[in-house]
Amino acid sequence: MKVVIGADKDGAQAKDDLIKVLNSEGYEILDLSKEGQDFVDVAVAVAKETLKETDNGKDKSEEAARGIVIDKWGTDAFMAANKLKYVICANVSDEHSARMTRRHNGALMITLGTAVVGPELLISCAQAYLEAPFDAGRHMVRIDMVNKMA
Amino acid sequence: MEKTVISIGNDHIVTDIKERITEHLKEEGYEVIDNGTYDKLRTHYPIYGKKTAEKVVSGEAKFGVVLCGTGVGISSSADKVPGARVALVRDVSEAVYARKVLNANVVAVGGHITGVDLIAAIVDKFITTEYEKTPEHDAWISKIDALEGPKPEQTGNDHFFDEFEKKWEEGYYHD
Repeated sequence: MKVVIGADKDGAQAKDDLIKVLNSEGYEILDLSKEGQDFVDVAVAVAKETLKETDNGKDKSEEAARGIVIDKWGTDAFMAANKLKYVICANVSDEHSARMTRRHNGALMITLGTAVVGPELLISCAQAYLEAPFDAGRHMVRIDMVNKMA
Repeated sequence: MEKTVISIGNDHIVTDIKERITEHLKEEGYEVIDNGTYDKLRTHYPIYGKKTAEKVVSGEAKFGVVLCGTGVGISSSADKVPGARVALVRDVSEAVYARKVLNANVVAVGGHITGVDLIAAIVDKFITTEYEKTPEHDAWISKIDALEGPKPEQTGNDHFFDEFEKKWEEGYYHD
């Protein structure tokens, strides 16, 4: 599975640590982080690349690409990413939300804030999100509705 | 003095939590517009995320509060309303940040993630924290606003999701 990752300066260290773990678990990593990006730049870059990889989010298979943004709060990148059509983005700070947002919302990407979660929890949330399947079924009606918006 | 108006919405998973937060807000002296859902019959969070956020953007309410199981579905929907700036949070600090820096106007929580007392504390702090206007904060907000397109067909349209509700009733979507 390809994981599209981006971080601003506040998320840089956590992002590097996460990439080490995900590499060792066999994920293919695409790190879009660049010097001087703010949280909006990072959120948009990760969202657009993940949309491209997944046919605008339609591919929600177990192997489909997912996006992860790490900044200081997560809330800001979340606010920016969800403005884009076909983007369903979750700001998470616990493993249960990370897992359920993939299962029920088919979330294209998550945001994590280093001011909110500690280093171990951040990695654990990312793993829970990446390992979760999408449940489809009745949940698709809500996703079709969200996708008509924006 | 006129009461501050809060727009609130939820899906069927957390109607009981919404009712408790609504009660709390009324006790605190706020006027609450409850956009539903009003019972536990299975329904769809985008309907209530859109309604709740549109009342804020139109000026009928000063702030919005949206809840579903994890908060994700309803907050993602609410954020797709032009002019809505939605923060999905699990603690007071994130809510304060979202008000001070992003001038967030809708707060979202997971009714099955965050306990009801903490939700009340988050909402209280969210609606009483002022935006700290600086050139940097204004620039970030403009940058977020610029991601939105005009959506005349979507805004204020109560029938926007009808095609999907019809398909749902016909049994098109099933587990």
